[in-house]
Amino acid sequence: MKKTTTRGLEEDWQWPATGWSDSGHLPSTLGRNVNRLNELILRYQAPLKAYLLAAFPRLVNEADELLQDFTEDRILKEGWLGKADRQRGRFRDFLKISLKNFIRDRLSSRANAPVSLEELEYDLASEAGGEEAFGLEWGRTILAEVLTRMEQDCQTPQKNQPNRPQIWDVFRLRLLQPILEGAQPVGYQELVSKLGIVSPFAAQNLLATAKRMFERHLNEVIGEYEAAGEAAKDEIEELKQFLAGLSRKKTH
Amino acid sequence: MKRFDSKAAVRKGTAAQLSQILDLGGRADGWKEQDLPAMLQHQFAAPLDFDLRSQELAGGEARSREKTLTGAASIRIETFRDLLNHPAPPLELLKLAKEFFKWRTQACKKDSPELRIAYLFYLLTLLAAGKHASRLSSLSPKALLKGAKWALEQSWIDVQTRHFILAGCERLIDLASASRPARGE
Repeated sequence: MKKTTTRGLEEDWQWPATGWSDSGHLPSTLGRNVNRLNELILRYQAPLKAYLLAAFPRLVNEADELLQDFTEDRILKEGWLGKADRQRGRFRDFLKISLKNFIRDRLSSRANAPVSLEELEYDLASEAGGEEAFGLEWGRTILAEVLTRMEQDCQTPQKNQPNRPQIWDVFRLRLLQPILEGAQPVGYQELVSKLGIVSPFAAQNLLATAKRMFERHLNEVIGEYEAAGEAAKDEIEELKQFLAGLSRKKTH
Repeated sequence: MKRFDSKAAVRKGTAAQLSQILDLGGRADGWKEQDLPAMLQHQFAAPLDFDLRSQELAGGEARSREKTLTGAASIRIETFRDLLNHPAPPLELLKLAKEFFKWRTQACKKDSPELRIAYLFYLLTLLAAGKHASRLSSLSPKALLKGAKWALEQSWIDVQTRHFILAGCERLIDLASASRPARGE
């Protein structure tokens, strides 16, 4: 399937596996699945835009154009990903710093002279704001993907698992909706009647299975941009600490 | 009713909400104290074969279980209430039920409502066995009576279950008296 970009280029790309290679660098070759590429670019857009708007408030009217240029001139450019180095930090930090450098370079080339960060209204406070906006949007993006996959997984019929859709329903009614909507968790009697759960231990198993499934999908999604194993665990822990810290900050 | 769109909801999530979701594995958010009466009645009404087949068994044990459950169905013992209220509950079926609830007490979190339900039904199964309780468990009559005392102290136990427990205790005490040598012998 071919995609025509706004620059008239016909592209037929596959996003490379984004796990860090043993050398610590991401693969530099691109393959041929434009749907996969589009999916990943779309996934990173929201956090990058949030960062741009918070860190460079003067550029609000050009944000979309700058992001599109960044995508085409950097993300899609062969060899660019090869610059990403596991030893120097996380993939999402690499994206963010690359965008910051791209913006400065782009604006400097327009002015035919180096542009200072002060001229862009970029300072420590805006950088901090940019970090928070980026991290929050990154968390939202990751969890949206995890939950979408988990729900699809539960709706996919499997042999000998006729109660698979119940896993999602228990998860949603007891955990997810109460957190996201501030509602009281559905009571035991109502839940088992609504879902046709036959015994208390069946209900217990469904909830335990749901939590395990959530963790599995979380590890899978994280593992698509960080290495599996310890790196993924560290990334999840770092995200947890960031969000917990941000939530404490917001309540003060 | 509007379908819950998890993707849209999490996209608007605050840092606090996202933090809670990421930490789901660490949350202790099973059922609560107030759920116990409903869980008790639900367990009484639960079909025997669903729970009793959930434990993995192999070979001869699995075949024996199938035979016992088929036998239960043939005499219309379909739920745990049917079993415990039966005038002559089959011992093999009581044994299966006892093993199941013992397994669940070992699998449940300490002090959780599920653990209390499992322990209660473990006791009820032994009380239903009456004079045959010693064939199901090495639990002494004294220990069983202690368990029954715990059960009677639980506010979530309904009146019918209390009567069942008391009747079971009386039988235990009568059995203990009958087995004691008479004075002067």
